[in-house]
Amino acid sequence: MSKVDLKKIRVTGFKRHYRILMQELHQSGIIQLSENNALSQQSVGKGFDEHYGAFDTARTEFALNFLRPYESKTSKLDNLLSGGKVVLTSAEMKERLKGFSGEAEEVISSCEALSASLLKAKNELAGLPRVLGLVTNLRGLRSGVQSDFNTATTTTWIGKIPLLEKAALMRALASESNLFDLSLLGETKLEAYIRVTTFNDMAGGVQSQLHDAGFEAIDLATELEGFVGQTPREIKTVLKKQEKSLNAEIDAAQAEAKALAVHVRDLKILAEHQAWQQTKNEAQSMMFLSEKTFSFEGWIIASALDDFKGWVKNAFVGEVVVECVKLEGGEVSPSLLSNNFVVKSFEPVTEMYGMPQRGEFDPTVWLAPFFLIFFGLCLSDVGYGGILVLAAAFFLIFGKLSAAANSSLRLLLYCGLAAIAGGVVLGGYFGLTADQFSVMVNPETGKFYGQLLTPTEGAGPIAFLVLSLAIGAVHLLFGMILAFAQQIKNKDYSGAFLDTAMWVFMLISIALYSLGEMIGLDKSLTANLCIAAAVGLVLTQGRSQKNWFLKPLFGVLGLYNITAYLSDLLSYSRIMALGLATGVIAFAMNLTAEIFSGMMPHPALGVLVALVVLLFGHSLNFGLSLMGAFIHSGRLQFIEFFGKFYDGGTDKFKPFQRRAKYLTIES
Amino acid sequence: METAVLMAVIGAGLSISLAGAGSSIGIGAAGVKGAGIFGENPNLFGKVLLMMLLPGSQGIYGLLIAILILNSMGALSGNIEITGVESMKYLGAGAIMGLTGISSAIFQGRVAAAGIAMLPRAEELSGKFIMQAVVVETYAIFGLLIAVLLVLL
Repeated sequence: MSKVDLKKIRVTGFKRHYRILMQELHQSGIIQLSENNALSQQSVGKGFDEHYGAFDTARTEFALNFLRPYESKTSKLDNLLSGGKVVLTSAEMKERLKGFSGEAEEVISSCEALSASLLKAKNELAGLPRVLGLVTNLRGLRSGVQSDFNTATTTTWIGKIPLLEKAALMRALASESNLFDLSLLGETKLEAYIRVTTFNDMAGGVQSQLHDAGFEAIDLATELEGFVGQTPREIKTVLKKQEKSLNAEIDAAQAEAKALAVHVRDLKILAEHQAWQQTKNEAQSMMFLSEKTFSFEGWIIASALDDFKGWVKNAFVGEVVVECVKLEGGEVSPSLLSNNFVVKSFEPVTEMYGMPQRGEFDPTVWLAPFFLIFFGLCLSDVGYGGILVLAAAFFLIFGKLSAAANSSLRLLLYCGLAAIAGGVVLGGYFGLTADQFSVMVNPETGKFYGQLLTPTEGAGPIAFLVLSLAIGAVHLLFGMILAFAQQIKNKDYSGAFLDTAMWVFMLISIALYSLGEMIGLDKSLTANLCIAAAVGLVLTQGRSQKNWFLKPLFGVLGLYNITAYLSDLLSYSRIMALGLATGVIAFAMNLTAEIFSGMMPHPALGVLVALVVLLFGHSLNFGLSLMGAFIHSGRLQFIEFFGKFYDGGTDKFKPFQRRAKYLTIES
Repeated sequence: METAVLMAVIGAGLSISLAGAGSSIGIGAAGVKGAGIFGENPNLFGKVLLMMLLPGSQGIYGLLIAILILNSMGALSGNIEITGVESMKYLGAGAIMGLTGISSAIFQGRVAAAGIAMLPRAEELSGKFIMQAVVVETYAIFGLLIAVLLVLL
């Protein structure tokens, strides 16, 4: 229900204790190392190589990523329930690390080799079709490929021209002389592959004709390197054979990879272990190191400090010292929230906006009930809420997910329950009307059991709107009371009494003036209250001005703030709008299904069509309403509620601890 | 009677078509930005999709008002009964929803696109980018509110 107290400490000791100390800190996650440049830049002693282990980690991760596609598919459900992570105890982890240590190097290096040969084979295979195409197009080259087609007296060109130019080229060449040979080697739809031979002394003329025809020479010596002396037909046979063997090679490599994929689990364990080691080594960059000692600073959870001090004293017999460090001016402690089991689930909402600053309290516990009420009224459907509850409960009971994921699931569970409550109040059952779903209808009232208002009929819309605004008014006033409490706590008495309390007085007076007659309050009395509040505000709101002439002016201008409160209040009308949207669109989906199924020629087909429309329509409505309910319930906290008393924006406490990318360690 | 029906139907049409157009433009603008972003970093797909969908709600509000109009005039049950005054209210409601919807969806799409563009550099700020875009939606919600009151009262 509050922020966790964090203390800054400096730990100094002999290097020989470094590993054990870091092991303990890494495992418990109670400290956030903080960089102190003044300290770390004076380092004179050499630590372990900072990048020690980075290479090993990278290799293991490489092997892991390489093998993943070949892993035999575990069942999708298993994967969902564990979040794709390996779940094991730390004893099992130790055992597997030991068991795998002998094989690891072999597995990883065979992965590297396999990956390289696969890549090479795939590249070669990808290059084959081009050469095959070329050879096919040169099929008329009966003499075979030569390294040089020229002789002492003749010049030969081999290449391609656009098919349309072929006839023109023939004519042009023939008009010049008949001492040339042009043979067609092959044709595609657009190009003709030709060989042209002539005597050396005529080469210039022929070449310019070829150029005009758009001739593109093909350098056979490089394009078909290694095939000199072979005819296109022979080359083709060789290439086909090559293709076959490359495919076989790839198949074999993939089969081998599939066999190696049984090690994925072990590789995950190893990768995680290596990453932990690496983090511990990297921590040194934040430290002061001398020949024999180390020293670092960090933020520690205050309640864990005494235990940690005691442990250090026992474990290192005074050779490691923990001391508290005074904060320098302007230094801000990171924040960590700590709430009870239920409220904890709402911490992500606060964290999304920003962590509390110094002097601010953790607003999570205050926003939680309002968040649920808003969410419940926005989603407002028993069916949709039930789906949320069932889904969340399923994963909570059968899943083996991390603590953070479970906490989010509980939030989903609470929200689902709130939506069920909202659905009961507003009569939302998958958008069904009372006569469509008469089982749940109270025959006396013609409404669903427990239904308080029907938002689409009679006075229902106004009642829903008033309800939304009333909850909003409570929310806003509550925010101002929190602001008051916070100002008192921070000894800002003038802010508390002259601003916050004065405005609360003003707003309550206005509310009484407009609604007081209903509870028998005299209008003239409430009007006087309003006037008193307004006078109070005029007298106080200009107090920061030095100029006595400006004070009353700014006081009057301060009254203008009333519009800000009004727009805050109106903003809560979104609850009604979103609540109505869920129900009406669900109703429209049911109606569409009914109309469509009625148009079908056969009743069975009608049922099928209705099911498809219902499934699609309700999934869409469920998804969009869920998103809207979350986002707008959050917005009402962030902008309307937090605007009164909460700024937030310090860094979150990021403990030095084990990452959990591949593993979930069970205790 | 025919004129009244025509006006009510135009109201429903304005509501869904203008608000829907706004949502399409908004989602389109955000989506174009989004494709470039998650193409480079596929891990961002979820966040990009969420932000991309934000301007979609105006289309839903437009649909809501259109359905309410059709329902109130009896078009859904098959026996249409409508007076001249009612048809004016429906036309007004549809126009209000359509206009507030189209403007806020387009500009919400722009804010969402700007947020999406920043995601690779500041992924941890995604919640704040979403909130920034949600502020724009307020005016569509006010439009929705007035339109609902017009149709149902």
